[in-house]
Amino acid sequence: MSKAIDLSKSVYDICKEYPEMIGILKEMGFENISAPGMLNTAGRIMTIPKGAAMKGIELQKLKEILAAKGFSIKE
Amino acid sequence: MSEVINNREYRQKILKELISELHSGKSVDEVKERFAKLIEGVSPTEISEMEHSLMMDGMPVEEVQRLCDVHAAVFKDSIEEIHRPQKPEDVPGHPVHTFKLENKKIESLIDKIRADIEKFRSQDTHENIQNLRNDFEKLWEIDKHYLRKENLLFPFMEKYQITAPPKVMWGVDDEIRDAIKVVRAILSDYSNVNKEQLADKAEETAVRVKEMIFKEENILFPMVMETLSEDEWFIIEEGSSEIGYSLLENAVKWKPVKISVEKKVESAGEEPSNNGYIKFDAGIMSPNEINAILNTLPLDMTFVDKDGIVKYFTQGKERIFARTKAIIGREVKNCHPPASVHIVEKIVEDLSSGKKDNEDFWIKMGDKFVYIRYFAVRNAKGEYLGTIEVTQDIKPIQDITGEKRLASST
Repeated sequence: MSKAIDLSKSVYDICKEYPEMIGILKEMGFENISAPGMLNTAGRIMTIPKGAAMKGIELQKLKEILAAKGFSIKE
Repeated sequence: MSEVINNREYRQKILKELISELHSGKSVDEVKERFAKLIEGVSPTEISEMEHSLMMDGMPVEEVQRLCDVHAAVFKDSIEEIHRPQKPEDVPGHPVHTFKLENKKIESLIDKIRADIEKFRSQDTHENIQNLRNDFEKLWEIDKHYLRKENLLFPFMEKYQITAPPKVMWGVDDEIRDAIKVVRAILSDYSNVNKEQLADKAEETAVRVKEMIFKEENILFPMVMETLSEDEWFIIEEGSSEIGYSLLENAVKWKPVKISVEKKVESAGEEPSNNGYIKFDAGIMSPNEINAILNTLPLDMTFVDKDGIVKYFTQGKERIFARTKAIIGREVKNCHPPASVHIVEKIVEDLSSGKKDNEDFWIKMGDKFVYIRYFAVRNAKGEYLGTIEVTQDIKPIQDITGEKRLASST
């Protein structure tokens, strides 16, 4: 069964639902995500597409990696 | 008499009269003056509330809308404040509005810088170098933008335990500053410099500045907008001009909604007591004594009047929660962060409606144990006059054990 990710949700919400996302996102270039308190504050405002735009990560590539890890993407 | 007993009802009545005068054909100019006088010291929110209650009373919407032209005449530009609830950051002079305005200026400078870098890449003429020098000299103005962010905004974020984002951002600010300095240094002594390397470095700096703007607008500003109270924005705004602005001559002075508490009391028919004594249920005191006594009480007190306006707070030696005089005359809801304002409003509502007489909270704050109590203040007839907040560090009291019967000699 694939795990659904709603891209309009905040990074905080997504990581709360799937804690393994923290490691995955960090690997993909969101290196500040594990700074203490970051997820709880900035993470509530950030969405994955916004973060990707900020970090210059191609969103399409990000989606592909997520899909490969067994997530289904909801836009 | 009625205006003394119930200001709100009195105003409603006048508003109704004004509407019917407009209905019967009077011009806007004819009623303008009375309307201006009526709403003196009244917040836009209250005016729209009054209009709303007129409609609830059965007044047709179109009739109430007749007032729009009068509003427009009286308020001129600020008409939006009444009918279109504005986002606070859209109000000129609000610190976030100013930050965003600077970002626009910085962005257009970055566009120019990029064009100048391209020119420089194709030919490093004296003129092209000079252009880049000027560009980066201007870009250094960003220092003031960052200084305001770091010294005025970040401390409030830290107060709310938002520590990681400012720390990370401050680090990046410093890297950008360093990058600008490096580019300027190379440009100031342009000889035997690798053209492409310099252009790359300049380009990289421009990109980093852009990225910071993105971070501010998409993370930082939304985050602080939902955390800081209007009162805190006011403090930030007041400290801003001292540091200065980036690429802006001067920022608009921001005026948060504020009521003159003195005028408010006077319009209710009360007069200042000057130096005469005040008679209490049991005894008398001079205003001087009352002031000093309240400041001597071993607790902090803040009084919010029946309309939710902060009217007074004590000036004890050690306040537990900092208050600035700027909050006097502000609506209590503007003095709390948006995220917790509904709690405050609920307390005030329960106390004013008579549902509760008091509401207590106790929290640990470092080595303090803070006891926060809210009491409805009612007169002898039981009419609600306002809410008083009493805050006290009760740790020393909790620590008391045994007995002490003699005064200590020290």
